Amino acid sequence: MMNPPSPTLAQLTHALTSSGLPTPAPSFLSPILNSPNTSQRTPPLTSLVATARLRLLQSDITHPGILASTTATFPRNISAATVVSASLSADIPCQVLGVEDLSLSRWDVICALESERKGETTKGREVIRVLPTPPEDSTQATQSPPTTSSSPAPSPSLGPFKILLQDAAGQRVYAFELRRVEKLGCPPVMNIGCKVVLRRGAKVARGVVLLEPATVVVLGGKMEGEDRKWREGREERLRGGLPGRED
Amino acid sequence: MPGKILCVAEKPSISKAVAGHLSGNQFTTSNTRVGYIKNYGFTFNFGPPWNDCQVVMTCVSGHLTDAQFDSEHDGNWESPPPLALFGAPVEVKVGKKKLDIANNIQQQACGARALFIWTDCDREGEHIGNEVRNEALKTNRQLVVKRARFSNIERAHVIQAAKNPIDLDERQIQAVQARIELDIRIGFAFTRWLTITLRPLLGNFATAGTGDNEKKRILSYGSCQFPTLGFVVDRYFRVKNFVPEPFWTIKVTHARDDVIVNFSWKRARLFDRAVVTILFERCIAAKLASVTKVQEKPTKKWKPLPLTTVELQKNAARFLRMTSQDAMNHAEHLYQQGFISYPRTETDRFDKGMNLRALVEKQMPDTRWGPFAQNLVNGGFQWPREGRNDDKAHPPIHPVVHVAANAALSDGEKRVYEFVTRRFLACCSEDAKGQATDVEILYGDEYFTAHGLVVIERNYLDAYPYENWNSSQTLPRFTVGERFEPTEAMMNEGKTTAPDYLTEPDLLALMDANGIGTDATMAEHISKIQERDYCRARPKTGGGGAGRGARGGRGAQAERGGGGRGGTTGVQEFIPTFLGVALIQGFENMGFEISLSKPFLRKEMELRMKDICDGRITKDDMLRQSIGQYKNVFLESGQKLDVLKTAFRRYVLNGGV
Repeated sequence: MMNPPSPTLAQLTHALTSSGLPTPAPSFLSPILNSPNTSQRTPPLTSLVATARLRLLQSDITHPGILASTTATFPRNISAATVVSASLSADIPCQVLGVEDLSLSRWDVICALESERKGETTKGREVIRVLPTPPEDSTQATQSPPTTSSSPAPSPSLGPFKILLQDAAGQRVYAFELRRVEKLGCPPVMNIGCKVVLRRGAKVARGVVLLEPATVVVLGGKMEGEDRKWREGREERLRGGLPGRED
Repeated sequence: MPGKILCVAEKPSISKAVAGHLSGNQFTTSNTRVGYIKNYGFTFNFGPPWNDCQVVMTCVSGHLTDAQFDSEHDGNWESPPPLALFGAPVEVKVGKKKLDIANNIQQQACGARALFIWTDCDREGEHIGNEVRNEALKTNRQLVVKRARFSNIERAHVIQAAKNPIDLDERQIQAVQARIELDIRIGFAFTRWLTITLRPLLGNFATAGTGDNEKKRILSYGSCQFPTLGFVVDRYFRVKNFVPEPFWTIKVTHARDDVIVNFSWKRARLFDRAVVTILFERCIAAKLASVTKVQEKPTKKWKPLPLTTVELQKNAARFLRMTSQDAMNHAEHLYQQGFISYPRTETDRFDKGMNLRALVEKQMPDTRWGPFAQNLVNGGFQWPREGRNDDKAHPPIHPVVHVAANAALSDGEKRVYEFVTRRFLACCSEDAKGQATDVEILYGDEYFTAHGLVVIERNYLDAYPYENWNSSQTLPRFTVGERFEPTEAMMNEGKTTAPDYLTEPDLLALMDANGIGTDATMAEHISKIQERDYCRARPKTGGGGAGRGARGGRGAQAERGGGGRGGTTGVQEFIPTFLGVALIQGFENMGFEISLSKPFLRKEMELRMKDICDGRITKDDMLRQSIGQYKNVFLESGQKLDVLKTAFRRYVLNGGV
């Protein structure tokens, strides 16, 4: 029997976009198609799609050669606070650069981070010891989840969240979660570098995108370096944002 | 074959009360060499196999024995070094002051057929029962040993207990033995170590008391005291370090049918001014709000759960203006006089076999709640709600007999009795019922809700003035889909406020949730850390919400005493001393995986005691594990002594600078 014909660039692109991903640049896909270590047989389309998806979600979309040159970006005046109400006219892929939980005071978050550092959490009035979980490391994805910690982690906050988004052209805009959007949250619920597509028709008010389930698709993903930097600098940023103590 | 049965209670009042019930108050009294301990003689028919017997009823006075180190380790604090105490021989002996009591038991055991133990039915009581057994067997090895199972000293209950004795629970005895040994090893080792290493750093604090009472200060450690103090210190820093932050809210009001309806924002508040401004602007721009939900439904305020010790203590602090320890002392007296059931219980469900109606009936003559009890008897009675806890030893705290308002009790005892009784009647009544109305509107992109309540039947609240439930204004009519222009919408700025210092009810709740101490000992630990000068209690000032619904209504009448007018709430709050802060911070800064200032180690110890009681592990297993754990912490603490010293220099010598 003959080998099935190798998937073409068009097939791979189509498979990715039909699963909701933005169109990648051909130069992004060709190394995957012509992978040097696939010596004899070309892998099936599904595994190429999986590889491409993973790489795309982990890349920085502002870098050239990641997304197709036709990728839509924010209008230039997106952040204009003078525009009372507008809406997006195209689907725009973005990546998350920052996130804040607006339902919590900075101090609350600082206290929570402190007890996390001490290895404690509370469930109602009960103080619970949390055994340190090994840092998530994509190279050790096989590590089994910690079974020693008998206490379930407290359910993460449901926000609402304010996130900082960046399009392929590097433009930044704040977005507010007007209605609950699944998978949105502070790391580790959603990581920095997570890819999001804002749908055509998404509302923008005074330079802030209003997120609703119908107009936003959370694709997931993470930019390793950015994510680490964000986590490490988080407490300091929060402290810096505290009002000066008057008394 | 008639014979003699020796009965031994845990304390004089119980021995006298039981003797009175079993003998029909026909007993002879003879003195012992201990002034407050009498031997009561009478006859009683225990039923088969004992039948008619001569009885001598006497008592001990709490624990008979003390655990102490052998002479080599008992005297000098520095040598052998404190570390040796983890392995040094511990001797359990009858205390010097208790020798005469032990002799009395030995003498009375001679010639007896059986020994009936009448100590309180809890772990400590079981252990005291074992001590009594040991003494009695010294002079009479043939003795059959039984224990009476009782949870109050009402006549019928006592007679029932006398006729159905059971065996001592060996596992509970072992659990207490393990606890005693651990407490002495851990307590002595850390206390000696802390005292000899830190006293030189105490400066003016190196002595406690003044004049003739001046003593060298001891820095005592207790495995419950430290976590208890840890909670106080933790809260203190939360208050001290707190930084207020602004937040923003949106409030909508609408006037209809002469009623001003307040709608509150479903998001409550957000910590971002720009975002709230945008949301607010969109509300205003929308002009009209539409009604998205109108819900009218019957609602209930649940009657309270049957009363446990911890609940009694928390409520006493909130509503009766007394410390948990005072409340327990009063309850103990009420129990010893046969007025209420045993006040140390974790159980919050009544056994289905109990005749609660009969107990309610006994309250009918009362001038205060008699009519309420009468109503329950006439058909209003409902079985109490059932909580999740059952210690399998004692029922929830309840009144056993009626005590009139003018009975010869202290003011505190009266208030505790009143609370216990009102709580019991409330439990046997019905939930309060009302009708709730909820209206939800969508205004701009935002949802707002208004809530209305009409109380229809007060039910249990009529007997239980400690809780409040009031009708709000009646909401005007709204219909789903209707649109209207709200009268007013406002964006407001607020500020977060620091938490309050820890109050006694809070502290009890924390200890309870974290397994620090038992219902029987929690109040002691709280008073211990004050005695040690690790923290101080002061009346909480201002209306900081702790007195939830305490005032008002008929509850106020019962609350004369206390002298706490002048703006205090009658609740105490705890502030650590520099000494307390230094100890806790010192241990915390050592950065152990398991800090002594945290509840984890002690909680494990309590769980292991339960394991012994349930037969999952033996006493020796527990001792090995727990001693090993604490010894490790001890060794690590020694290595990080500098951290502790730094904390002392900072907080004790420099006053926290």
